Amino acid sequence: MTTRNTVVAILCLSICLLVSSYAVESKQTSSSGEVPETYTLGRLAKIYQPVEFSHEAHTYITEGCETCHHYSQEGETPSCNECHNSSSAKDLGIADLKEAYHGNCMGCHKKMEMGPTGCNECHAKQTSKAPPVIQTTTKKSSKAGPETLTLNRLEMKYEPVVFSHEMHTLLTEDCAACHHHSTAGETPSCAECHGAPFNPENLNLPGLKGAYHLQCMGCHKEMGAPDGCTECHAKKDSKKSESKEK
Amino acid sequence: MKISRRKFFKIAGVAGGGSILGKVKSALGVEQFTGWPDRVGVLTDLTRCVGCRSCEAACNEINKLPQPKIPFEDQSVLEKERRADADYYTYVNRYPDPKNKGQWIFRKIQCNHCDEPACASACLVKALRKTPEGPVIWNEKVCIGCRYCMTACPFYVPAYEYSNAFSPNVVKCTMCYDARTSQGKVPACVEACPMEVMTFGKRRDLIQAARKRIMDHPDRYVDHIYGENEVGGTCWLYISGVPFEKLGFPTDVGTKPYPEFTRGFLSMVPAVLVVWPALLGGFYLFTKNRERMADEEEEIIPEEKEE
Repeated sequence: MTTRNTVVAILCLSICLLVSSYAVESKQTSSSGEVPETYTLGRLAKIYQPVEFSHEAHTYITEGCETCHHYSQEGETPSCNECHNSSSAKDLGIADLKEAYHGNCMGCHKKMEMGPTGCNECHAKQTSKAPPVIQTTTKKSSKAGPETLTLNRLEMKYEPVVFSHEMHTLLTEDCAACHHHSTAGETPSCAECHGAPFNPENLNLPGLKGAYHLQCMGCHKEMGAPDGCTECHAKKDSKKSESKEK
Repeated sequence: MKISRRKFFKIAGVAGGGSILGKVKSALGVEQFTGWPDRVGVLTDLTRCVGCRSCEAACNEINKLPQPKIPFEDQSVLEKERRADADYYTYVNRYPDPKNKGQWIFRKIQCNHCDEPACASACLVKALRKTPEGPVIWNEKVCIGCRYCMTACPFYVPAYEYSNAFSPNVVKCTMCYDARTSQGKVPACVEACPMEVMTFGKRRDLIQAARKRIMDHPDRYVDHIYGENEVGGTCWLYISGVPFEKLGFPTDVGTKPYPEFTRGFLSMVPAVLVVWPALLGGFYLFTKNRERMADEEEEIIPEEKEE
């Protein structure tokens, strides 16, 4: 009896160890404890940077858990790999984990016309130093928003633009000079309103690129600040970029 | 049944005239065409253009055109007013700003994708075609290089491959039909523009957006959407801060679709070609027959007299 128990225990332990050693999805759980905040998907860490999936953001966007946690009993939210794993794919002909992720994520991103759909938009290449997102630096003492914003969406072509938010708050009299058309006292980020351009609902609402250029250059022209292309977007060393392309 | 000569002419005249009139009526019926309902277009806001030539670079890339001698970053190209060329489907020209001395206003030029294109109506072999989606496209396999479209176009858009000695084509902007717009994507130049000078959407929505923009900023724009009615309407629309004639736009093109100028005449051609030979042939046979019969009678009559 005891030997049998120890065998079972050892088996369980070894399975646990195996699973944990293979586990690549690290969870960060919010204070409520139940719903994970982010998932870091790092199976392809050798080729790509890990994908930071904000579970929290997606719970707000979707109508209900079952949008993603489909085909399960009401109230239950099994994790993706409970159904979508290599063995189930062989046995039941259902999608394996990779296929399920891509089918579900990209399918919805395309349908909703929201979120990234290009390969490198989720899977930043390991060689590129920084993911193409807006990075902010914040001073602890500062209450007037971030100190700088680093805009590097076009980092394949240009050096990132480091926008000194702090300097501009000193130059302008009012936050609303840039954070326009919003409720008094509120300073939504540019991307909150200016997303993808040419929205048929409001064709006169510029996209993010247009909004930046129109706002920045419009004011720069008025104030006599730099308004040439390369004055903000320093060209990358052409030799370097060429060798990279090769 | 005997038909007198007079009666024959009466019937023939009525039949012939009726068939010609019938043709005219059906040709007039076509004039009610006001463009494909869901056609897309591009609204170009010239107050925003800074002349960076990103659009030219994007166009060059997507259409796999030859690399220019002067790079796209070089603004010196703008010193000379350019016209359409086989090496570039879109280009930027600049004009002095009448409001601010020493400043320039930039104008991006490409095919305007007319609702009723003169080039397509002039084309002998139907190499140019207006798609229901909006773009006017060309088929190089069909083009015979006659250059009628170049003379027909009110905006001098189609360009000729003079450098191609053996199979020269007429080329022009296709609004990226094959590569992008037919798949619901935005044209390359529109996407590349950093200032969002161009807005892509359904033409009817663009006109509303343009009206609103003009209404919201009456001091910034002249109250005119170029292309709304010019040559019967174009899919590429422009709004500007200065009158369009100051920016080299042809403002004497009228609001009548160009094909309409020739439609009346051209629709008569098949009618004339079919009805007239038949009619005249009929007259000829009739008169010839009469003459023959008269001759025969003359030949017979003397014989009778002899008897």
